[in-house]
Amino acid sequence: MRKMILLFFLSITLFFNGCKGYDDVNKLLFVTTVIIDVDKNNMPVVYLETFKPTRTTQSGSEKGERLLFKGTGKTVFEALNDINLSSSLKFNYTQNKVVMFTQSSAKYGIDNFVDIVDRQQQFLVRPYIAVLLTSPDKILGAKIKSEEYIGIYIHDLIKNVGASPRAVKLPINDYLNKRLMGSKTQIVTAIDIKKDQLEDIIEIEGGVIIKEDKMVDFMPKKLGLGYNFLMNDLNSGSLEITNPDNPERFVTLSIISSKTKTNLTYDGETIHINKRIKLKTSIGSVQKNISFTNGQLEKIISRSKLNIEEACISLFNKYKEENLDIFEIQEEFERKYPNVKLENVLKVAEIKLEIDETIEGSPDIQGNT
Amino acid sequence: MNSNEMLPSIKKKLDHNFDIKYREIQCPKGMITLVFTDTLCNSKFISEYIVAPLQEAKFIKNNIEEVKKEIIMADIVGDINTEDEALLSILSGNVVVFFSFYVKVIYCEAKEFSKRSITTPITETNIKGPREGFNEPFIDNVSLLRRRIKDINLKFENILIGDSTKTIVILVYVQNKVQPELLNYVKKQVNAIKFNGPISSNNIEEQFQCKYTLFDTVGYSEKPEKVAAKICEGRIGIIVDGSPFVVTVPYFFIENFEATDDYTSNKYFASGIRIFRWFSFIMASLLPGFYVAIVTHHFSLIPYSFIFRLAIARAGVPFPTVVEVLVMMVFFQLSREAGIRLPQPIGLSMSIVGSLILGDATVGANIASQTTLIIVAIASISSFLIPSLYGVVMFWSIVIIIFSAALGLPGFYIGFCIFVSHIAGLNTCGYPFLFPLGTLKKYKFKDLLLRGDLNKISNNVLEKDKTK
Repeated sequence: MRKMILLFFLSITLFFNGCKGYDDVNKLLFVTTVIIDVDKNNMPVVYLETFKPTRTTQSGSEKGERLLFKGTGKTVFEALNDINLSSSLKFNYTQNKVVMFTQSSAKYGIDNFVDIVDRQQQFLVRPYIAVLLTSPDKILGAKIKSEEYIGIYIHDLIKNVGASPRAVKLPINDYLNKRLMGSKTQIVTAIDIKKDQLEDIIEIEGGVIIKEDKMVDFMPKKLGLGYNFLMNDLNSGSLEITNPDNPERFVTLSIISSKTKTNLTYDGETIHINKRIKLKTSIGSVQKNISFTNGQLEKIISRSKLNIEEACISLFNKYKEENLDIFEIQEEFERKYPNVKLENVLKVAEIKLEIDETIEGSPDIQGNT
Repeated sequence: MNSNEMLPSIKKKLDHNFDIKYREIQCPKGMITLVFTDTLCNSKFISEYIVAPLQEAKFIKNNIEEVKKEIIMADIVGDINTEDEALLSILSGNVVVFFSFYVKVIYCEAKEFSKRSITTPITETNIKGPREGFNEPFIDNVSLLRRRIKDINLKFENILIGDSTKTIVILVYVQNKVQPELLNYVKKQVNAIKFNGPISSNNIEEQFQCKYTLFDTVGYSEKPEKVAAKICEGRIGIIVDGSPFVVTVPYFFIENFEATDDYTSNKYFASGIRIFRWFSFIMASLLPGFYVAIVTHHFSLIPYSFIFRLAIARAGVPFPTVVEVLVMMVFFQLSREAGIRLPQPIGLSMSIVGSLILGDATVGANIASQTTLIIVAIASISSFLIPSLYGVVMFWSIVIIIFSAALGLPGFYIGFCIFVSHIAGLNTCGYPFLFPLGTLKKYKFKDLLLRGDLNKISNNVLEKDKTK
């Protein structure tokens, strides 16, 4: 019996081991960024940013080098093979941090290029997906002092999205799922180079709306706050509201936690979307000064609620008018009412917000409440 | 064969031995001959308590029993029935007395030989607890155990093994605790030993050792309190004359993680240290294989900052990772063996030279990367926590490395499964080697991963628990 089990294990491993093979870590080129662009004929142009370990004749002076590659072909796979012709080492995509599409390739259709990410085992579904608002040459040529590798920098930037409530993030895994669900509309992180700066700074510039794998619109980052509140994607960040004691100055509320619960109901005519936002904040900073009385705190809370409500409602109405279901209402509706066939869910949807906000902190911070 | 026929025959058989002495005493009734081995006997004792009383006896009666009771003053006096018995007695350090006027032959115990005193065992040091260790003469070992277990059921059964060496082997057990089938099995195995050279505890160990494995399925110890505890649990101790190690059977896998200090220190601390030993066993046997699998097949499981650092560190290394790991393990073995075989002060220096200079030079010469060096060092240091499993860990870690290098993590799992099934397939004196793991419902055993209260630890681990 033991021999049988052993034989079973061995045969399984030998037969299913085709996708893995022995590689020494120093004999590989680790790809950190994949950028997919299209040429005039809509043929893919692939850019790779890679890490290469380099040995030198001098002992103890080994280092890593950043190498850039560009390849073309009829498909992404062919373009990658084209790049392979110019490399002495094997490419490894397991450390790839971000797959970026240029605006032109996103407008042409991501579905023409994204299959390789899903199909090839080395392309993990862990990296983030983003759309470049600038050219690949510019982004790859950007000199970022804090990080040599653009892919790693963007990955850290997206991961750090919690610091800003206005940025959006989307891993490829989520993209691959959502592109087949509901209204097939989603928001992908938009990356750009910040202008009017002393040195190159890459930033998250809102999001790009992708519908049925094609870029249809751009959502500026100022709308990101409302989107993240509505989509329950907000963990930390800040809210700026006017100072009740000095209307020209501001009070910054630091978001400690935020939870949005969605309840969708359909009465036969209208879809009622009830979003309950439970928000915990603390006073981050105050311009000028403020009297921390119960009344003032109430004012701060009510202004904060108003800001959130305005951001959310205006965002919802804007995209309702444009008929872009970035809020996944179609999917939610189909899940809750699988037997009801409704062509355009967003058109009959009404949103209602309930915001429960508290300001936390010690009595010193809260004042004499 | 009577006394007068036996003596010439013995003289003939024991000739060309400078230390076999024949002391003749003339008495009114006839000649009395004392035969003994000078190098094994106390000559003063013979003169005072055997020779002198026989010389001074004015009248020797016709009955030899009267001589034994009234004249000879030695503590232990007995009869000799055959020539073989007489020869064995002489060669064991007894004085055999032949009377020309009696048919019977007697012996008197007068043993004395050079031996070292009881010292602290070198192989099993402990911080708190008794310092005594077993000694070479079996008598010392028996007395050390007797002093610890004053039970009428404690039995010491002696068996002579070896056609020419006639080594005394003593089975120690507590009669009302030992399982009869276990006792029969042990007796049968000990009696089956056929060996003509000097017999040590290792001969006994090999007789009980499971075949085709590096695991010790037989226990041994230099510490009397440890052996006494095991005997009280229902195991059998085997003392071999001339060996300071007492063998205990059966011996289970879990015992490799127990130390004497566990029972003399705070139980929570002892339990923590025991978990540490399990952890170190896992690290020592699996870490190199896991490392090879991950850094050669599954880069996606490694954070980028580490893999980039690793790639840079390995940039100048000419060997594949698996060779690099194996080379470092061989280097470590060389260093360890040199440290052990050399005298202690030089061995210590050797270890320092090996670990510091060789390690640093290896990285400098690009034979290995720092990461590999750290992995091999962690695995090697971990193996020191479980010295009894050192050989096992070294062999199986290499097997798992080879599987991992060939097949990645699936290979690692296969190697691990083979390793575990190998342990599970072993037995010790008919008991599963992994006992009591997997048999907890059948047997009472309260000393597993954590050390229980001393008064709650089972007294007899082999007995089926009737309360369950």
